[in-house]
Amino acid sequence: MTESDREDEIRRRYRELAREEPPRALDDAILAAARRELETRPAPLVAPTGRRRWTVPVAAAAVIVLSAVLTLHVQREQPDAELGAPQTSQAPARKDEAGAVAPRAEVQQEKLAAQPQEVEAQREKVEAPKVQAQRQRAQQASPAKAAKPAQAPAGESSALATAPAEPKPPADPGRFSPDPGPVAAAPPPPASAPAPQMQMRQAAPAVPPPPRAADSADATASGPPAAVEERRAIGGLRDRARFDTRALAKREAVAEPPEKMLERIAALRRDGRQKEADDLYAEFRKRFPDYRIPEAMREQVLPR
Amino acid sequence: MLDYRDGAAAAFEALYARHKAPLFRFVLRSVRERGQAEELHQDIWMRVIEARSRYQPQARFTTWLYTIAHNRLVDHWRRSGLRIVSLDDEEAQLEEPAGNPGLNPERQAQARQGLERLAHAIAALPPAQREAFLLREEAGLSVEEIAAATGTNAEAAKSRLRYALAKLRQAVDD
Repeated sequence: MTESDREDEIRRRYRELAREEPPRALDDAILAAARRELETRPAPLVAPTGRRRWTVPVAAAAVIVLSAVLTLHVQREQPDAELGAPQTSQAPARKDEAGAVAPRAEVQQEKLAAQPQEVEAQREKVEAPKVQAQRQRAQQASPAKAAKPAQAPAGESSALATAPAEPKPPADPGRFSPDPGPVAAAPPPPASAPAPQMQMRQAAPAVPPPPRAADSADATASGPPAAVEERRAIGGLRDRARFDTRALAKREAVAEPPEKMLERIAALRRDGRQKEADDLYAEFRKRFPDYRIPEAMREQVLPR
Repeated sequence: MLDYRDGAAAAFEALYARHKAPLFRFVLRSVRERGQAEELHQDIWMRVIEARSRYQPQARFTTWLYTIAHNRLVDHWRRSGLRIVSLDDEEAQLEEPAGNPGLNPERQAQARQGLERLAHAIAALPPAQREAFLLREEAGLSVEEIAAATGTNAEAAKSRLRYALAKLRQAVDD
């Protein structure tokens, strides 16, 4: 018997041996999952290949950039019409106080809890003293105005330059609706790496703009660039808080033990929410690929 | 798979019917415990389903499927506490945790004497050689496809297959 014959003999014996098959319940569960996948995510009309794969993301990025440019442009123009009221006298000390409040407010914003409403309430508290500072700054704005316009476009261009770096969902027009009230000026955003990223996040759907604390009758003649900077800083603070919220939610999800996840899956199945249960089970398997599901739980947890 | 990607549920059913048993046996003989094999089997197919929308036919579907299976098994071996010095190491057997009886009792009951010896011999192979043998016998992959699925080169795949067959021949002849 040649070596080749002996190998064939091995193969023949193996084919006799190899008769195991998966259980029928497992087959049904997998086939059901395959059908559900088609229901939730229909096939693309034309499967994109090559450069066409990037068509949609690039188009989305272009839309976002254009939207950001337009809304910033509108924002910049709006305060020109509104801020024509006479100035009121302010104590010089208020300016320093506002300057001190702004960094503290920034720290406060960073430590906010998950709820965006809390972010907005906090921002209103911060803005009230800033309005006072804005009045003071407006009185001294004339020599500074020449410098401010140079700062604002530079800041905006940095935001725009980073926007195409990654595709983002379309901007929410409500997010950038013109500010009906006065906005106190704030220090320009720090020139560090996180700032441009936070600017970019302004394009994501977000909490609608909050009501302004100050009365429009108290509008001061602060220069437009200062108002733009203020709004940008506030938007950055809001986005930073939102980012922290997402990071917090993600950390909480990662920390969930497998038993808790299994209980959630079982509860979803009992409620008849099979697709959500399947998705959560897939997530469970990604996080705990080798976790042995107790026999008692398998029936309640495994896809059907 | 392309038909399934484009929305035909029946295409997946045909695909599954064709590959479920060989894949299951491949996994079963790699982990030896039926409960784990069933979970891994399901996990592999769930990954196939999730990858539906981005599937591109760069290779045979079988090669792609067993690449997923191989990667999943490697993850399983690394995370489950089984010590593997090297997949190619002759001495690096899968040391099972205490309490694992090894071969499936169902297989033991069903196997005839010669087949039982073959089954034991397959279980005793080093993981890489056993994998190469099973990919050849269950999936019908060529040497080049085995190399692609396991992330190695054709020479290494050919060598593993040769050693595996030699050991099995020796075990069956003894």
